[in-house]
Order: sequence, then C-alpha cells, then structure tokens
Amino acid sequence: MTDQELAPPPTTWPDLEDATLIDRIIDIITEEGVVERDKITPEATLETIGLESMDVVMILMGIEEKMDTYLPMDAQLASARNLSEFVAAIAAAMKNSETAKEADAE
Amino acid sequence: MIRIGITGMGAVSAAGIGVSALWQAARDGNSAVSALNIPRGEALRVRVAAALHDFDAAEHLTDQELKRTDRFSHFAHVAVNEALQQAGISADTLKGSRTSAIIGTGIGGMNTLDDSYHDFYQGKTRVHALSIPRIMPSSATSHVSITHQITGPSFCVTSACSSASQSIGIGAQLIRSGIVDRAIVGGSEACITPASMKAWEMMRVLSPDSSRPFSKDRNGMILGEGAGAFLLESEAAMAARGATPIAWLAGYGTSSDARDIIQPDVDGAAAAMQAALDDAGLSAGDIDYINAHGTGTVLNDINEAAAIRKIFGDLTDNIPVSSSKPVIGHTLGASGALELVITTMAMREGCIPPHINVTEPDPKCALNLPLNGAISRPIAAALSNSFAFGGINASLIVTAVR
Repeated sequence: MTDQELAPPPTTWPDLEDATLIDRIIDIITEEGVVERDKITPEATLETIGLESMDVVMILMGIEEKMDTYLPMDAQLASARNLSEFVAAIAAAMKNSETAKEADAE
Repeated sequence: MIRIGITGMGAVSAAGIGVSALWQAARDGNSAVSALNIPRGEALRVRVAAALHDFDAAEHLTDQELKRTDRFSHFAHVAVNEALQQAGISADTLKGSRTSAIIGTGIGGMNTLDDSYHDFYQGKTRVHALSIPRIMPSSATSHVSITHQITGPSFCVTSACSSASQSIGIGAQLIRSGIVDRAIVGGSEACITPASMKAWEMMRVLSPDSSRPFSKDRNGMILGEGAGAFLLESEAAMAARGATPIAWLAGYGTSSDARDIIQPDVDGAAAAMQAALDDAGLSAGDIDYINAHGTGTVLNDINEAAAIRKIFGDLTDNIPVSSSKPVIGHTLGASGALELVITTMAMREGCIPPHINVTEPDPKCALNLPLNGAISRPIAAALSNSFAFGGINASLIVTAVR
C-alpha cells in the first residue's frame, strides 16, 4: 500500500487483473449492504451510501459465501476512504488469501 | 491502606503447563500459535489457534472431578494449584471463611456446551448429566472453592476479555476492605471449539495467519486458551504465616465506555489506566513497562495506542510496550491473568519481553515496541491492560518488592 494518506482518494475503480471482479464485488455490496446499485460509484463513501461497520461485516460474509475466501478486517479495509479504495482493499485481501492458500497447498 | 501481596502464581497456556513455560515463551518471543485440527471443524476457515494440543486433564484431576468439570475448570485447577504451591500455604491456613475464590471467564464451559448441543441436535436424548454445572461460568470458581474448602465469598466475574483483570482487582478490593485476608483470583478460558471459532470468524476479527499487534498489516487476533491464577494476601496475613510476596498488586483501575458493544473508546481505556495509577499512588513516569491488551485487530490497537498516549504523553516514546497475544493468542477471560503473570515475571527477572510479528510498525499506533528481542532492564512498576467488547476496561499495576 502506498501512502494513501498523502494522495487524494481515487476517482475511478481500481485497475484489477481480473476486471470482472469489480462487478462481482459490487454485486455483493449491493446485496449484502442493501444499497441501490446506481449509488455505488468509485467516489461514494461508505457513509454517504449508509454502510455501517455491521454492513461491512455482512459484505465480507458475502465474499466468503460467493467467492470462497475468508477475509478478516484489516487496516486497508478499515481505512478505505471511498468505494474505489474499499473494492481495491477487498481485491487485495482476496489476492493475499489466494497466495496463502497456494502456499499451504505446496 | 492495606497492601496486597502476590504470594503465588500459576499458568496454563499454549506455551505449556506452568509459569516457567509461559515466561520462557514470552521472553524468547516463541509463538505457541499452531495449526488447528479439531473434530467437527471441517467448516472452519481459520485453522490456527494457540491451543493446548496435548493437555490431559486426567493427569491432574480425579475421575470424580473430571465428571463434573469442563476443560476451563481443568485449566483453572492446574493454575490454582501451581499458585498455591508457590505460595507455600498450608491447606489449613487457606481453607475457611477468610479466603475468597474468584476465577473469571468470558464464556464458561464452552466445550461441554458445544458437545452437548451437538449430541442433542443429532438426536441423542441422553446428554451429559452434569452439563449444567460444567457449563456455568462460575463452575471453575466453585471447583476451586470445593477443592480447597474455601468458604468465604466466591463468585465469577464475567466481562469478556476483562474478566480475569477484574477478578484480580475485585479480589484485591475484598482484601483491602477487610472482608477476607486472602483471595485466589485469576481467569480461565477454553473456547476453541468449532462453533465458537465460527462465531469469532463471523465477527471478522480472527486472523487466518498470525496475530501482529501494532503492525501495519495486522488483520486480527488468534484465539488462545488457558488459565492464570494468583494467591493475593494482605500484609497482615502474610506476616502471620511468615510469607513474603513475590510482587505487590499495587493498583487496579476499571471503567466502562458506555458507548458501543464492539468499538473501543480512547477515553474509556485511558480512564482505566489513570484509575490504576491513582489507586497505586503512582504517576505515569513511574511505569517502566506496559503489557498491552494488543489484540492485533485494526480497531483495538489504534485505540489502545491513543489511550496510552493520552495518559503517558511524551513518556510514551520511552516506555517499552509489548503484547503477549502473538505468543499465547487471545485467551479472552484468562488473558488478564496470564498477561499479569508475564508482567510480574518481567519485573522479577528485570527483562522486558519482546513484541513479535511486526512486519512494519503502524504509524497510527506509534509505541515503543521492543522489536529486536527482550531487553534487560530493571522494572519497578509495570502496567497490564485488558479491554473488552462491551466497553469494559481494566488495568492492573504490579510493583517490585524491595
């Protein structure tokens, strides 16, 4: 993670290896967080779309159910300033989790 | 003011049975966290814990005792016996109405609960006949009271992760008030069951890999189990039997956030530390070492660091702080006792235990963490913190015997 504190928050969705992942994560945010889809923009904050800490827990549960990955609350997730950073944090945590699984399998 | 001496300590943790095993692991920074494979645990995502894999209760308790006790009582039994042995107190002096027994726990007999529910919902109509006395949170206390014929006030303090610290503190207050002369105090927890692990997973506060308190990449805590116990005695009670303390329990402070059931609060945590300092008649500059609650969750660590800075100000940069949870996991209702054992040993040995597992210190929780191994240094007074879900905070201060 770069010093995101110094840079302004991103205004576009993160550039992920698997571009379909963003839509799948957004689907889960919509469903688990009970948010209208058109309110989900990269610049929206968790507060403005009404997501509280319990909703974030529910979203992480949805990720586990639909993507078969356990994600704990980490610093990057907790400090996401908008949905772009939130989605990026989920994608990063998923990647770490996959890497750990592969290491375990070896 | 009646001074309270600690005359004996006992510990059961993933590091092994005994204070010595616990202290060695803490001093050497050897984590007792390991892979977890428990029956019926197939659905678990998190497969690491600080568990006692080889603990055989039958080595410590009779068949009759085993029937009526849960694993958390077994841990308490062993830890209490060690504390009493170190104290060198006779059974006759200990028994009776001038002694109190207070063993805290976050949950109680979770292994019995989990097994009983499993059996019941599987259609087994005959569950364990003594499920209730095994599960009740006060059963470890009652077991200790029965075993040692303690007829003074006995009860269980349950306040989640502050249970043990509050048990120790309230035991000291009972002695100070003159209600009893001595108290067996501490905490015990045995919560590493499949359903309990799953419930913790759901909170998203369990790390799937390791506990890294105050590290930028921390992602949660590791569950642990065990028990810590102390014999506390008044100065007069010690003098009457010719005993000397291994340390003074000098201060106890407790507070409630009165805010959120999960999120911690800087003011509440700071208030507990300040109250402990006031109780001990010490100022922030007198504290040589802080054993942090340090869970490795995002929220606790930021909150605790801010609370420490609120009380200790610029001194924060000089006072070494370490957490024992990367070593023995978060033992919930036992944590305050096990960590006070480590804090007291650190003081007795003049050795500050290292803070392990940090990949990169989080600037949001700037503390003086001994990251490069233990530090030899005299400790005259040390503080141990426990902060619980529900906003219940407790801090204890031990001081050296000169």
